[in-house]
Amino acid sequence: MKMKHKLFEKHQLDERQEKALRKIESNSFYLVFSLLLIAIAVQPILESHGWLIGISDALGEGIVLLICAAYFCIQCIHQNLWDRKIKPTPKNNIRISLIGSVLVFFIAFLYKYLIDFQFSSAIITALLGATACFLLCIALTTLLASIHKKREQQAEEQAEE
Amino acid sequence: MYVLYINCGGDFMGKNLYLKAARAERDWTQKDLAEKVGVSRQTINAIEKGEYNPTIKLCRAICRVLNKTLDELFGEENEDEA
Repeated sequence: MKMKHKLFEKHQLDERQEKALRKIESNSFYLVFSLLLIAIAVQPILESHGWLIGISDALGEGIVLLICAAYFCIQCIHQNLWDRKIKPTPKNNIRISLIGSVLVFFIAFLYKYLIDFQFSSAIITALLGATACFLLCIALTTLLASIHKKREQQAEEQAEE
Repeated sequence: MYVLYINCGGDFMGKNLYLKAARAERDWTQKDLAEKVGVSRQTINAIEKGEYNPTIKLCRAICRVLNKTLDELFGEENEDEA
């Protein structure tokens, strides 16, 4: 009996969709590359003028990540693409959100614990962060999935020429 | 020669009316053809409109399903240049 791991299952995208996704990924890479270059160049200048005092060290990188994530999402929605293997179902949205929130839990716990070495306050901070992350991810993935499904339906209903 | 022509770059080639005609011969919708070939309806639509340049693999699959040759559906003389 052949056991096929889910990772090696057939892609749900055809060749045209795959080509479109690869183009988006390629553009996203160049966007990340150029924006990071700008962030690396600009941040020291702003810091030397004292404009970034009290603000997170990773502000520039965070902004770059947000811009690129937004670009990727918008382009995929525009091209009616979701993912190569994962379908936009509520179950999958919950799974992805859980993975994200678990990661946030561990990062938040470590971050808080390494500051004041208080286990209980670190756990509370981590739980709050993970919960916020989960709720935000679920809301966002559900919204994007519904937009994607609506656009897919419109594309299917479009009359043949 | 087919590989050089079919993959000669650029996404807009002009409408593929012979593909549309071959599909109409069998009274198939774009969705029917797409299901038989294993691609989305939008891909077949894009090929017929000349907006997408299919790979030789997909061309062969379409020809096999429609029982036509590559020349008949995707040959150079079949281009309807705008």
